[in-house]
Amino acid sequence: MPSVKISSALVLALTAGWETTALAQQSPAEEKAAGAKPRLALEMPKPTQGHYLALGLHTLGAMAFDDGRGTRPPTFGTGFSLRLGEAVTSWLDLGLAFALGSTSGKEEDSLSLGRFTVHSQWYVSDRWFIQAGFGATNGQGADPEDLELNRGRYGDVYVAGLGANLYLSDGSRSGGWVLSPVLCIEVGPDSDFTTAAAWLGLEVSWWSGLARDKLELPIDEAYE
Amino acid sequence: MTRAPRWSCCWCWSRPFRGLPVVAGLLVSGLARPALAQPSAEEAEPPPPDSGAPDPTAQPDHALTPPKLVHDVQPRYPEAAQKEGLAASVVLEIDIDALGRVENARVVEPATPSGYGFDEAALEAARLLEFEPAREGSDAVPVRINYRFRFVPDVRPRALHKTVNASATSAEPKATAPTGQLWGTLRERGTRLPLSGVKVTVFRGEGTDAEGYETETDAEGRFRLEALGVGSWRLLADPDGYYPLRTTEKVAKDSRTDVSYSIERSSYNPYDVLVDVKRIRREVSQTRIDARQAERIPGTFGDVLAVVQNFPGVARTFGFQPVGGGPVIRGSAPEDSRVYVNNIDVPLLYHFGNLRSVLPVGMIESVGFYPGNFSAEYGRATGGIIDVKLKDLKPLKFGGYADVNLFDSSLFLELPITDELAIAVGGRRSYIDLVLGAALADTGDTITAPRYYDVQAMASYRPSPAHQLQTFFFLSDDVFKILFEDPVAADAETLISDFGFGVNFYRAIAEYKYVPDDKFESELKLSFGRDLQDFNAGLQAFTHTRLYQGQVRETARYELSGALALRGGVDYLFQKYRQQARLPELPQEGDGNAEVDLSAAVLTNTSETYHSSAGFAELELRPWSGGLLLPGVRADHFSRTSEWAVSPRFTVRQKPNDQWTLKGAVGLFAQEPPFSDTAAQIGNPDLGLERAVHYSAGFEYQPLPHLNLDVTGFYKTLHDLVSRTDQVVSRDGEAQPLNFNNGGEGRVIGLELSARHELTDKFFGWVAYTLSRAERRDDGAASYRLFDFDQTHILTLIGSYRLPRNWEISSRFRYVTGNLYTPITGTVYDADADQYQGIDGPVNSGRVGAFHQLDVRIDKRWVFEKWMLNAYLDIQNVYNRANADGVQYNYDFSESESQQGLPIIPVIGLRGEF
Repeated sequence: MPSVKISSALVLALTAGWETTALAQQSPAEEKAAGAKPRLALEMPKPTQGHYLALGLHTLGAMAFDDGRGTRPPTFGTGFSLRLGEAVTSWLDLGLAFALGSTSGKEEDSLSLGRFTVHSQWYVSDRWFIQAGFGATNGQGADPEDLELNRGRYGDVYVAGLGANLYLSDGSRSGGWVLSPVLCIEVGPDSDFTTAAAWLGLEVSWWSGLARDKLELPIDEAYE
Repeated sequence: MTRAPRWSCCWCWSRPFRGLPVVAGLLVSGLARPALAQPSAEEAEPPPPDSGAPDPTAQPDHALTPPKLVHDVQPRYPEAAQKEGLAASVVLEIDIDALGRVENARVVEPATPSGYGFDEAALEAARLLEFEPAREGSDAVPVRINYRFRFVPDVRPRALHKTVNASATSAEPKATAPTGQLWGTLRERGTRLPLSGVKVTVFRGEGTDAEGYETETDAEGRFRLEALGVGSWRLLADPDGYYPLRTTEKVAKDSRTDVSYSIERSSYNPYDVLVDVKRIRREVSQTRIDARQAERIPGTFGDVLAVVQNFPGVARTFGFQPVGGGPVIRGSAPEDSRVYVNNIDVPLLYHFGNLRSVLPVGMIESVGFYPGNFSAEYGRATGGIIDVKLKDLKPLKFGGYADVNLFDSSLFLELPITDELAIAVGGRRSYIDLVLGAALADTGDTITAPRYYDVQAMASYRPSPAHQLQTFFFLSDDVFKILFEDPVAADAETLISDFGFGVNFYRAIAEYKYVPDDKFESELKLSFGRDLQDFNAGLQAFTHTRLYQGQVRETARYELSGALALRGGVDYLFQKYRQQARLPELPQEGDGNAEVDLSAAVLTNTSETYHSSAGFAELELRPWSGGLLLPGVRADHFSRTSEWAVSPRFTVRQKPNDQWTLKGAVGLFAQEPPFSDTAAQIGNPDLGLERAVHYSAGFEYQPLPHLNLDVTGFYKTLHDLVSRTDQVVSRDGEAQPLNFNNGGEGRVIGLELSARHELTDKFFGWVAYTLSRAERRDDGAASYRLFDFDQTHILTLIGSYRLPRNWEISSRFRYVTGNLYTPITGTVYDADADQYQGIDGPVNSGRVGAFHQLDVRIDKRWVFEKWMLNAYLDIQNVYNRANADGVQYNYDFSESESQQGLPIIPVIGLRGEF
């Protein structure tokens, strides 16, 4: 198709960053009516965009309800977490999470916990979020009746948490570093060996940000 | 100073309701920032179904065509605003009558800042606008639209005066200015497919220097911008459904700049390319699902054919399913149902364990499932039919995928050779044997378990639209073998040192399709294949089975008129069966806890040739509005049983209106008994055909465009079933046990309910519920007993939802009545064998607890420049339900516990596509 000159008004509109509308004006109504997809809404840049990788260090309190040996009282220790995923919308992050931790105390009371979950993070404001996840866990501790043996379970686990984002990098850029204090609770229900734990810690996350074509940018940046 | 308002449009749909004016949300806007001018997803999508609005593509006869502006009016620019350089936008609601005139206009979104007269100027202009009226079908109808005026201050009056209304003038660059060329290609990111018809705009400058040009990409995605001024240009391409391409390019004097771009689609939904093939429904119950939809269902691990287990009428099979472990459909034994690939009979659908099917998703178009009352074109089965339709190979580019998951890795490639010829190859190899082998290394046993592979090749040649030739070859191989370090007891008297079985089969299929016009079509299919089945338990028992099979099938359809069409064909199956076996009496359905006595194994050697010929004919009658009658008959001759089976079938469908369909069917069905049951010595060579009568009736209801409800009641009687007998007959002067006769009977009654939400932009799902009772009466028995696989309630819920950024979440929940078992009601101590033997209670009189399970699958797709990566996490048994599959006893049968199914299992898989 040969090129045609476009109006200066249109050029001015494009230069002003109104490109979507400017081009849309030239689409015949019939084409739109035929079911063309809507133009995409671009996002304003913010740090928590794109893919993320988060590392966390936590203090951990855990207990178990052991059907055969009675309840193990809470013991405390440390754990770490690794999360990776993506901001799916401005209010939802979705990904995978791994966490490992152990508690110390009386040998017959202490526990080791590990979990692999589908992890979601729901933003209730720009800063605050709640977490929810489910997946598989392995929780075990020494058998109180024979400390050489282990008792525990492999099974399902459910996680709920609360946290806030503190932006370490420029808040007007897409992607960057974020520090998040997080409190979460996990429960691994089982008829024989139920585990419950609370994790309180700090997560440092790196966000890749979105590509330029997905961002609402000033004209000079958009056409860099 | 006035400005020429520029406008763009988006709208949603609504059609007239009982003569009232249409209320359509048509947003017509002037120059606006994208965030303002872009419709939200809600604005641009079709309205919710309950609004009564149709899918315009579904009902083209009543499609609503929006009004079209034919006379634009430029509003006056408020003087004070112009002086201050203020911009504003005003959204009006405008009523347009059936003649296209503006009847009324009011402000719904006033200008900010207010008080400058923008609203008034917009209203003045709006009342002078003229439209080509909106139409529903061919009728002009009144509508209400939203219309946005955007006021942009004229900062360069002279330039604007030059260019107003110059938007479509031919490019005439200044003759004296140095120029260059910008040539480029626009492709879709990830798929590398060219994007055609996309506007590409270049622009630069401000004020009097502002200039811009646009062009459009051709079918190959190419564009050319000739004679551009030298220097930097901003380039924009922003097609619907894609993220915009915004970049800057430099044009040099008297030279050509070549560029190549790829832009990303907002969502790489594999279903976007679905082709809805309109098929005549010949069956009362039919479920058809597209392959790309099926592979996203949790619990299938991306395997398309595993979706069959989620259809209504299919019982949950459990435990390790070796060879022949097909689905249990409407209370029929697995061997009573047939699996076809493009109408060609194949011995099995799944590799060991029913986890993976023998065909790759890349070659499958759809899966058809007919649980009963199937058309006369299908035969040799008394249960149900699974018909896998292969893809019509028409690749646009060289592409394929590589898939890696817990069980196996596979590769699929397709390549267009010419416009008429295309080929595809695929293959898969499991590595469970390596994993299990390592896990069991400490036991000292050597295990090859289960190892499978399959390979496929396909070629399609279409010299003209009327002719198509397609060939397909596939090979499947399964082996399971274990060598025990210490021989294990197979029964009281026998130790075995190894155990194994294997299946290897291939099919070569050639098809010629001739469709000269829309009245006649013909399909000729030729196939040849070989099935090998081997089994051994030490040296004490073994089988080596070879089955060579050839098939010729011709189907033709001729439409005499809109009310009458005839469909018919012939189907010939040749089988050469050879088996060497040393087998004991094997447990049959309904045998309870019967044990295998290897010491009683009998050596047999069989070599026979069988022919099975069939002809079928079916009329498609539409004698009255909404009615479809499908009388048909199939005549089969089976040389193995030397019997004819004439099977009349009749299906009726009546659509009283667009939403309801009433349906009913009755038919006869027949099949040969399994080869093992007609083998000499261990079987009965004189067995006859097994027969069945299917009845079904029900209705379909479509309350919403994307929602289909189907309720079908069915009743099935089974006759002449193979049943174990104690009779003795004289053969060749010797008294021999008859082993089996055709004295068995069966009956199955049930109700299937399914509600299916067809695929929309974001969601698809279905509910399938089956209530049934399947019974058998063995030869000589006074009363019926429950069939081994009887499951009273089978409920399956499936839903899949697409999120932005190419995420998709799917889940499946199943509830199934517990499996049957035969309880041990007493014991006898066998002093010779030094073990207890259980005494069976009534067959299938016990039932384990109900099965229920939730599976979740999450898919994420990453789009790269030339390929895409799809990762999935399939979590089976999310809440770790300890489901019982059966019951096992301790050594003296004094205690029992349930055999538990699989715990929560997360499985990750990766697929790279290019």
